[in-house]
Amino acid sequence: MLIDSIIMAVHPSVLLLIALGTVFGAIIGALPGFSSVMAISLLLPVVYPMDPLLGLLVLGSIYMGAMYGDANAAILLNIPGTASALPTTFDGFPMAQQGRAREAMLAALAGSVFGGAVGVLVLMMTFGVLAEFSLRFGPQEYFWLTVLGLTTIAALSEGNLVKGLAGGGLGIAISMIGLDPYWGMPRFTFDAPPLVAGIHLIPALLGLFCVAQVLSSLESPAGDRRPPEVGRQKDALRKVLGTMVRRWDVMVRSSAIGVLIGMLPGAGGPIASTISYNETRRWDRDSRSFGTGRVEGVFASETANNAMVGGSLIPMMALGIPGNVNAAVILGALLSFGMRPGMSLISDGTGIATAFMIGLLISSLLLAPLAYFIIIRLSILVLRVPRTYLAPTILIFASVGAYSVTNSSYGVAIMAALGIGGYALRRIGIHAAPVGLGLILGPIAEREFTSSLLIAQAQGSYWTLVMRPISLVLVALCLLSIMTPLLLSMRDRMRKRRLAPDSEKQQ
Amino acid sequence: MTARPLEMALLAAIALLCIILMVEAWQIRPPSQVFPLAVLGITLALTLLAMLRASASSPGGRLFEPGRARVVFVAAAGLMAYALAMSIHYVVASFVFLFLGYLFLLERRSPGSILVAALVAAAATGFTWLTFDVWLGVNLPR
Repeated sequence: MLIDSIIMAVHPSVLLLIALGTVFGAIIGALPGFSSVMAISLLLPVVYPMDPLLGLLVLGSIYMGAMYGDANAAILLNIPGTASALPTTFDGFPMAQQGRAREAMLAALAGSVFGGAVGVLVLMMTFGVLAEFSLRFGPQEYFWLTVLGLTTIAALSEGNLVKGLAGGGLGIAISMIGLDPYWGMPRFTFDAPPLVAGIHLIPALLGLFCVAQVLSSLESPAGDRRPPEVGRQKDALRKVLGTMVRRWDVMVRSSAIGVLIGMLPGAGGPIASTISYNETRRWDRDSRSFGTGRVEGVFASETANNAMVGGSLIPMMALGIPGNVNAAVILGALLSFGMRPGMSLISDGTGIATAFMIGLLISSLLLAPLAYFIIIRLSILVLRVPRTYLAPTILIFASVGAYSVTNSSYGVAIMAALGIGGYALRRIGIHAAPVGLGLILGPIAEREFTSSLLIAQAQGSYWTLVMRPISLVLVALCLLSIMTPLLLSMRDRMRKRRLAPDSEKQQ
Repeated sequence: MTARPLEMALLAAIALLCIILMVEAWQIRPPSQVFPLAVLGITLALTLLAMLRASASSPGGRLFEPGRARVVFVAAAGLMAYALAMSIHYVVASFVFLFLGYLFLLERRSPGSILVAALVAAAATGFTWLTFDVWLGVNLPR
């Protein structure tokens, strides 16, 4: 079985697609303002007609590539390609200003390859165990597990829990348009025949994550961004590898932080890279020199960033709870292929799960030669492309993608409506992530809830929805997930109130 | 325009949508009605709470930097027009959308930049057509 999976993953056509996905992800990731989730969403329609393994591998490779690519803009322009690369700017940009841009970019690459590989190895070791544990789950546990996934909205809602949860509810409401899964009757269709088929997930995600993002990028003028020249710096690779071996503790610690944070629902790359950077600085003998061009700072941020990829896929593949939005979109693709996360991924006899993880490991390792010879050069070129050309091109690519999955303009209409609506919601503080998560997890939550309800009715007690050992633990985790941001914001407000009189006294 | 009127209008629209869908969900036979009613009820409550908080907060800053509202609105309108035109002829609609889009977003227009815009539009249209129509076998409208 394992050999079959390895053979599947190392087939030349698969390797070619992994390489293309990695390069594509790294290039989109390098563009400031265009996120990794946008890169994944943009290629959803392309992978939709593919074999499930190929499709998942392309998306996984894009994810891996994008988490690395964001470092290049951070180092060269002091603008993180995604929020995860923010700590990379702290030392990466000063290095570029000192004429050490090449060294910083290679450090980001080395960290990404190391972290990415460690993350996938942990995924390979834990996925089976966690998936086997999920065999103890009934519909009730699956329902609460989905609710736990939805409560990650609390962490994704960037300071506004109420709006985040309302956005999640809106996402679930949109997912309910179409046929009622129990009775097979149309619901919420407003007598519009195309809506009976429901809201296709891929055009909806394209709208929320691509169109809304593009419209948002148009809010500020394109400006003139000229990345600095990357000098030859012949000894850069030797220096980076030397530091990497000498500071193995930074690599191991940052990888562990990345994997652990990645596994927590809702806590994504920005948290992983920030914690990793802070910990590296805290444990360093010369912590004050951080922020002035320490290569360890770049290692810490980028290693954690890419280790988070494997970590975020562990709960997604084993339990169906995405660790972050990227994993949620890959979960959406998994469901679109008619597959279910958990033990069925192992026991379906196709070996797809193992082949996917092996392919992801290949992607993380392949990143080294691809970036060294191609991606770094391409990123510098792409960063010089005026944004004028990017926005309309991405809109066209998303539109044709939306058309391709529905074979009609209906897909494009869904994409445009959700894109423009998603942009408007974003302006009032309801971000795409909670709406998208509701859209992906809503149908699963409904199916498991209805099954649980029928079981409860048959058993004559609605308490069976909650009063089961694993369900109770999951309910407690849901409450914790909702309450933590609330308690943290209360603590911040109290601290501010305490500080306010002190500052008044000082004045 | 400040951010608050837009916020109130959108939240009111979400609340209204929830009420309309709840009325429809009420007519669904059990057990299918429970989940939609619960989700819509919770969403309605959260939206009303968000409205309450918004009304108590400061009016907020300006919605757009000067001149940028026009860019965003034209892009959104252009996308909707493209969604309609695409069903007639993919290649023509895409080329026109891209070319006009590039021209609209160009900060300085010169004969050279217009030519580059036309070439990039042709290349991007050709690339998407080759990818989807030829490689993936999608029958794009023609």
